[in-house]
Amino acid sequence: MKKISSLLLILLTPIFLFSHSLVLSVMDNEDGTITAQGVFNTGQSAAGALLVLEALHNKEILFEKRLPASNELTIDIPKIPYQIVLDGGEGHTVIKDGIAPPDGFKEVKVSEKSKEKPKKRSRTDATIATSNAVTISILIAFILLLATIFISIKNTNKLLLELKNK
Amino acid sequence: MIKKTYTKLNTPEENGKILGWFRVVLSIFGGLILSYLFMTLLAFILPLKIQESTIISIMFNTLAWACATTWIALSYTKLIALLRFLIPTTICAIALYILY
Amino acid sequence: MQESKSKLFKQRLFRIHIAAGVIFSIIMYIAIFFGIFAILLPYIKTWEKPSRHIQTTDIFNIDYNYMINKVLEDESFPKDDILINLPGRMNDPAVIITNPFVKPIAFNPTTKERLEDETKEKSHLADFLNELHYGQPLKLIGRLSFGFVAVGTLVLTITGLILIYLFKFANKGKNQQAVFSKIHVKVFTWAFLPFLLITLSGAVMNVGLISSGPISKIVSKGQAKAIDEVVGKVLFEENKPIKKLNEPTKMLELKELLKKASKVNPDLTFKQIRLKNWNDKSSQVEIVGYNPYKPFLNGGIFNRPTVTLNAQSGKLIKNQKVMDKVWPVFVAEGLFFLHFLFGIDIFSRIIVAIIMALCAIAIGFAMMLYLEKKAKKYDKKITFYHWLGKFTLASMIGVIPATGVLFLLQWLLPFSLEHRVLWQQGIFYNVWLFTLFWSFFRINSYQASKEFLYSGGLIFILSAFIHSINSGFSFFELISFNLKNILAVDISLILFGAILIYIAKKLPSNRSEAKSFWILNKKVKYEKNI
Repeated sequence: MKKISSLLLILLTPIFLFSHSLVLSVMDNEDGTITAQGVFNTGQSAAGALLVLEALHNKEILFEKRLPASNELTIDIPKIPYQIVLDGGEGHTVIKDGIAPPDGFKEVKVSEKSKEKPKKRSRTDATIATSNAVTISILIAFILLLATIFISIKNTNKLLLELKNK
Repeated sequence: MIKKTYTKLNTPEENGKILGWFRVVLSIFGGLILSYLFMTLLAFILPLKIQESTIISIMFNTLAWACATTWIALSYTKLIALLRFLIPTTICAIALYILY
Repeated sequence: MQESKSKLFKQRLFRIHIAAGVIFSIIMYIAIFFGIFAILLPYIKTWEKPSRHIQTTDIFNIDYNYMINKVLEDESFPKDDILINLPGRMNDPAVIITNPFVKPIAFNPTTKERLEDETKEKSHLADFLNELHYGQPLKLIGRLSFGFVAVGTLVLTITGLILIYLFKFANKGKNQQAVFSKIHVKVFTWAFLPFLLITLSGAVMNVGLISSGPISKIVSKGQAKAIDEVVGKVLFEENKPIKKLNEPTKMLELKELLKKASKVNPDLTFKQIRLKNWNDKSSQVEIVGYNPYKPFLNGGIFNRPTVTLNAQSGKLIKNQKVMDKVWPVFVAEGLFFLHFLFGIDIFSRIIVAIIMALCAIAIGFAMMLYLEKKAKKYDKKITFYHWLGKFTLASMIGVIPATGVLFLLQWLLPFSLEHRVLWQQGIFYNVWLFTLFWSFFRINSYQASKEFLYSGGLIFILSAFIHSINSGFSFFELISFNLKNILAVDISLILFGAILIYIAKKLPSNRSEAKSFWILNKKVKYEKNI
């Protein structure tokens, strides 16, 4: 029974669409430091991948270093809320929430200036949405599609009229 | 009711020019399940290390799907199509359960 | 009973073949059409970039060490696992120094100057054509759709082969339908094997790999989540880190190491160098190559012969030959060889491109056969105006001027234009959509085809001249500066354009003319044989 259910579970669990993914593990050393380890799920080393600690409120870079041959780095835990970003090149970026220090995070006073939207670290290219090229192309595409439908109806009616007159 | 369904499935169509939804859906999805299970079983059966035999499985998985789809779709009757899906799939599933 | 069984079987077989053909042929044609351009990707990639209009040189005479030192002056550049792509790899004349985690840096191999490498926002022609051929513009849905079409094409191939075996087509008919059928059958009778291999590997990439999660879990008994974890170590070379000694040492000249590697394995054409622990006493260089004497067995993604040398003494550490792998790797490499054609020469590429072009034409004629059968029912009653016919016309013929526009705009749009790639792709899609509009506008499909072919031919020829003007290299200068690969692309564009114009001229102007066009050809051939 156990075998059936585990087999079924395996078959029904979501298919992992991307093989060869970067895995980030973060361990609290309970001495005010964390150890971040990066490796590919195939076992391949991630030495050279860029490890960045970013402040959550303003995306300020608090720490930045490439993983050494040991694939791990021990870092002092920042006092303010942060996230850990492991940049393994295009398509291989892993982000995790930062572990709090033993005394907890310090409160961060968010000023008016810093309330402006921080730069988003995301895979999607934000400039595509705002480009004139995309807007104009989509507009023309819609016009052409509508024109195609219109001309198709017009020609069909024309041919039916010809048939009627025969 | 069951006898009626059995007779309906067992009667060959007059015309092979219409495939019908039953045959199309069964061949596509049934073929997918059958080929997937068969290729997974093949990885266990081949006399190689599992890492090496899995290469053969994934490389020919899609061709197996195409073959299974064609084989099921070309069945003489709908019943045979159903059996072509059910019997090999069951055998592969049992074999995988034993080997897992 | 046997007779009716056989009759049903043949009817069903034909029906599956026709239904699958009508459903899958348009996308399959598009995949093959852009796939032909993808075969020539290395050459188009060099043609499209201003930074690559440079002379290449012999890989054994380049000062790689100078370039590496220049790159390592940047503190943020990773100090290990540096990869150098040698000139000639994928026809790129530049030396590319990269690492999996940073953007590549390109150098002129003769002047040693750093090149202003165009990002994909500035120039993306060859890669875009490649993306179009496997459905990438529509992301996951596009890739899956193209993958399913590839599987459908495998069904078509299987049923087609059974049909050829069972029916033993005589191919002797004298009407249009017979001619279309003859071309379709004859081409695929000869070309089905490379076509099958290429389509199979395409299906594996788009659908097979994505759906391999459950197989990986079952065969590994729940240990592995993805297929890479199961087969990765067998298919791909392991990049094990070497323990650093932390003793800075002078490295030998890489060009000298290349010469040593060439003596170790003279059969190899070198493509890449991987540096491990560079500038350290434990440093090694792994030189990756391709053995052109063992096609189908190496050079692609899985089986790459290497020569590993000690970077300070030049001593041989490992000579990984082509046949040093297990046979499933050869199966995988063989399956993907025709699809990727990594490392192979231009002549072999052209042969594969011609075979695939013939397959695309055969698919086109199959569609014409289907449409002709439909059109015959309305002969003398009403002009044939079918949505599938118009859609096919735009997809298969309309794509030609649209692709021509891509090439034209590559050198027409200034490189300083913001979002130039978006403009280029947007205009391409709109031109293609316009051909859809025009296909419906022109009731006479033959006339529309002629117009598409004429315009496509003119655009392709023009693109070569615009390149010549805007690149600053006339055709004569391309010859004198020995930029023959770029010149070859220009000549190919002009030649292709000329062929399109010739076909447009020869094509009949309407359906009634077309009937005698196909039969007339057969009549002339028949009379010649008497």
